[in-house]
Parts: sequence; C-alpha cells; structure tokens
Amino acid sequence: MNQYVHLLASSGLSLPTDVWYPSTENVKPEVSDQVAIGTSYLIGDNLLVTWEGWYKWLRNQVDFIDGAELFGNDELEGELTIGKGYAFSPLELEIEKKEGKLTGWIGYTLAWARRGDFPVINDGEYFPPRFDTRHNLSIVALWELSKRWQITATWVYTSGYVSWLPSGRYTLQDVPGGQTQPLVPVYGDRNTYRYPPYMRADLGIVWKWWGKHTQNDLTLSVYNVTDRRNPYFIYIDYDSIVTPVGDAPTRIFAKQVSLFPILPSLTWNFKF
Amino acid sequence: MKTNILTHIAPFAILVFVACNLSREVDIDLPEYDSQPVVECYLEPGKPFRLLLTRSFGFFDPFGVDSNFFQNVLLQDAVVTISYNGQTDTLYNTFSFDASPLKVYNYTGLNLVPAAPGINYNLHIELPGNAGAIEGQTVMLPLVPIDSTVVQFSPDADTVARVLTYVTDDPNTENYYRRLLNYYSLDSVPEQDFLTPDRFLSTPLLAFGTGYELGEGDTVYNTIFHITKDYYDYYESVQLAIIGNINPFAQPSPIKSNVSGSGNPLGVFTCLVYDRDTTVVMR
Repeated sequence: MNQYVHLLASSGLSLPTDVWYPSTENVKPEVSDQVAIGTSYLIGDNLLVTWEGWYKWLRNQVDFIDGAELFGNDELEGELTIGKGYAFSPLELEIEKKEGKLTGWIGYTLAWARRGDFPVINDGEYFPPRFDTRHNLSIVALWELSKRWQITATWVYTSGYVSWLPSGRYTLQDVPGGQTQPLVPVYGDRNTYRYPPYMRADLGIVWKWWGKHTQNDLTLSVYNVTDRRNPYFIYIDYDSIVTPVGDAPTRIFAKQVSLFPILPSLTWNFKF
Repeated sequence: MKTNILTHIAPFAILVFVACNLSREVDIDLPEYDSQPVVECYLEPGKPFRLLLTRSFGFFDPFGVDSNFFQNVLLQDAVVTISYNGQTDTLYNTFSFDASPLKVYNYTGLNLVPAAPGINYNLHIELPGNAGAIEGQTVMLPLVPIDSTVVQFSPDADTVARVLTYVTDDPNTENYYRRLLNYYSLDSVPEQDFLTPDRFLSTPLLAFGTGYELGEGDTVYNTIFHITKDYYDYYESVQLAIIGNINPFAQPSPIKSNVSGSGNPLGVFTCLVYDRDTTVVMR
C-alpha cells in the first residue's frame, strides 16, 4: 500500500501540531506491506466473535529532525528525515450481538508501533511514534426498552499517545553579554512519555413517536457523562522570583488542558 | 411558570459551571534521571583560565533558591586541568567572578589564556567520588574584527537611528559567528542574540543591523564572536531545546555537548574570540 500524503506530528509536549505534507522528489511515498490472519465464529444464533492478527512493514517513514521549525517555514522539506518502521497486533478482537432487545459490540485491539533507522534521530534506534497506543477498547450497547424508548451507551478506552519530554534541566550562565538561562531542558531518547489514557462514557435516551405523516425521535444524550478531563495537551509553566539578573524560576510544574467536559445535548430528528 | 422554567434550567446551569475549568495542574511521572555534570568553559585571550562546573537536575526537581543554592548547584572538589603548547595548567577549586557583566566560576587557573590563534586546548576533569572523567578539545580561532560601525538616523523621523555593523568573512574557510547586541550595559538582556554560518553569504561582507529604535545618547554594545562549529552546534541545540519546550510549532532537541567522557557530561568547552564595539548614538 502506498501513501502519498504524509501526516507529520511534532513530538513536543505542548499543543499537538500536525502538518500534512505531500510526496515530492525528495520525500517519497510511504509504503507498507501487511500480512494478516483472522477468523470468525458464530456462537448460537447471534453472537459473532471475530479475531485478527497482523504485521505491517513500513518504508519511507517521514519524521521531523530534532529542533525542526514547523511554522511559517518555506523550507520545511529540509526539516524532514526518512526512516523505516513496523507495527503489529496479535489481537484484534470483536464480539458482536446482532439481535435481541440488547445489541452491541465489544472491540479490543492490542498493538505496537515503532519507527527507526532515521539517520539523525535517536542514533538510528527505534522509538514509538506519537500514535503508538497500546490498548484500544470500545463497548457499545443499544437497549430497546420498547418500540418508543431506547437507551444507548458507549464506553471507550485508549492508551495515551506518546510525547517527548525533557528528563532533566540545567542552568546556562552563558558568555559575557549573553543572557543566563536558568532552565535549559535536557531531552533524552525521543517519545518516552506516555500521556494518561483516554476514557469516555456516553449515554443516550431516545424517545420515538409517530405523527400522521411524520416519524420523530427525540434524543437526550450526554457526552462524557463522567466528566473525565482527558488531556488534550500538557504544557510547562513555572513560578519565579525577580532577581538582579532576571527572573529566577522557583518551581516548575505541568498543566493539562482538556477539550470537552460533560456535554449534554438534545436532538430532534424527524422525517416527513 | 417562571419558577418552573428556572427549576428546569438550573441543573443545566450547574452542570455547565462544574464542567468549566478545563485547565489544571497535573503530576507527571518522568523516567528516573541521574544528575549530570555541566561544564561551561570559555577561554578568553588575556583572561585567566576559568571554568564553571555545575550539576543538572531532574526536570521537576525543586530549585532550592535558598542559602544552600550554590552548594547544591556547584560541583566542587573536581580535579581540572587544561593542556596546551606542551604544558598543563591546573584550575583550582576557588570561587571567582567578574563583576560586570556578572559571571561566576568555581575553578580558576593561575595563568592567562594566550591570545595566539591556532593553539589547541585539551580539557580534562576528574570528578569527585570516582564519578568519572570529562574530556574536551577546542582551538583558538583567529579574530574576525568588526570593520566598521555606522549610525544612521531615519530619513522619516530623524530622532531615531539604527546601527549597522560590517564584518569581512574569509570565503576560503567555513566560519561560524554569534552576534550579541546589548543596549545600555552588557548586563542587560541582549536585544539580539543569534548564530549564523557563513554558507549563506554570496559576498565576503557580513552586515548586521538594528531597527530604527535608538535615540541620541543611547549606548550599543556590539559583539561578534568567531566560534567553532561544535560551539555553534551546542548553542543552537540549547536554543532549540528551550524553544521546543514551550513552542508548539517547534520540535524539541537534545543538547549537543562538545565535552564527553565517562562522567556523562553536558556543556561546552570553547575559546571566546570576539570583537566588541561600543557605540554611543550621536549625530
């Protein structure tokens, strides 16, 4: 399989920044080869169990070099480097109930992804890319209470994606005339920090009614019913005091920004 | 009726209120980090051999800005030597400083750094407590002098001026420069601080400038460092690491030290060859 447009994700901790970059003379299309094996089994009349395992080889993987400038850069191609990768999953499992008052499915994936052989990243060593999520679990249920009433429920869990955090810091005094830098981050191997997992539960209640020429349903749904504050991005901040040579940090801390809290909504659908 | 509406709205209002505040402080578990020795050694011609040896810390470790600050940060009791021209100088574990601009050192030698270009220097540090050794090499580059500094008042508003600085680059060698521009005093935060290689030049003339932002009587300190490639790589990596930590449009970068050894050090060992021009803006 070939891919001609590349999604480039920065590894930094702050706001996730992705760039779509086309293939060019120097940036070849990404190529993957995959082998997969799977099986399905029907238990009784309406319980379907599906299992699949796969392995994927990746070539011409594109990533940013260390210190790349992403924004407003006319020479972005000079910030890219080419390597390889692989990904595999020994377990992609789905159990689906197709009929009855209660229907739905449970899906679980256990997978790994790695990239490496980049000449200027990690000394060529392999590392997890940003979207290497180890576990992915989703549960969807639909319960028909009656012809008019229906309850829906969804629960998703995904391992956090990875990011590149500094592990240490030091103070740079600098040359005469230069500015002392009290906080120089020390970065180790790329992408060694894993965000907290993403979890979300949604609930919905559907009420249906029929008019003379219409079909209606009113849905009250609550997105993220547990109001879990899943991290969208994390940034670093610090407290400081004023000294004769400038601001001196006294404490460094991380702050998390979430995107969606609990979100109720009311929807009316109708056909006529 | 009004009361019934409020009764129905209130739960949603409370829900929205609780759902706000989407930013909060969090604990982050980082991999364990072993403190590394940090070397900052800039050899300035005509000045004593001096070196600052400190420690690095875990990223979220407290700063400890108290009476133990220097004791915690400075790495003492190391054995520091610098070899050059067939001789070896010892830098003693003594505290010294320059008052202006304020710079401190915890290892100082007795001799002065020779001003002759082309001399190779070798640094060797034995860390205390059998914590390993640090090695570094550098060379004294020739001075690249500032040819001239020109003050130009704005043709549109003759109360503001800019300063232009001209340097002649040697097109036969690969050169790297660092430009520092300070207003009023060398202790001030630099107005300009950037690195530049000479590979982008189409002529030997290198020009640096300011905007029309200076008034009559302002003092400008113009420093052009002629630096080695490894110092260029080091300082560029420091800038990129700082920027990558806070800017979502920049990729982080590891530090590219030019010191190495079993002590697993960070830092830089280099010669500071520079020309500095002090200009008072006058008509």
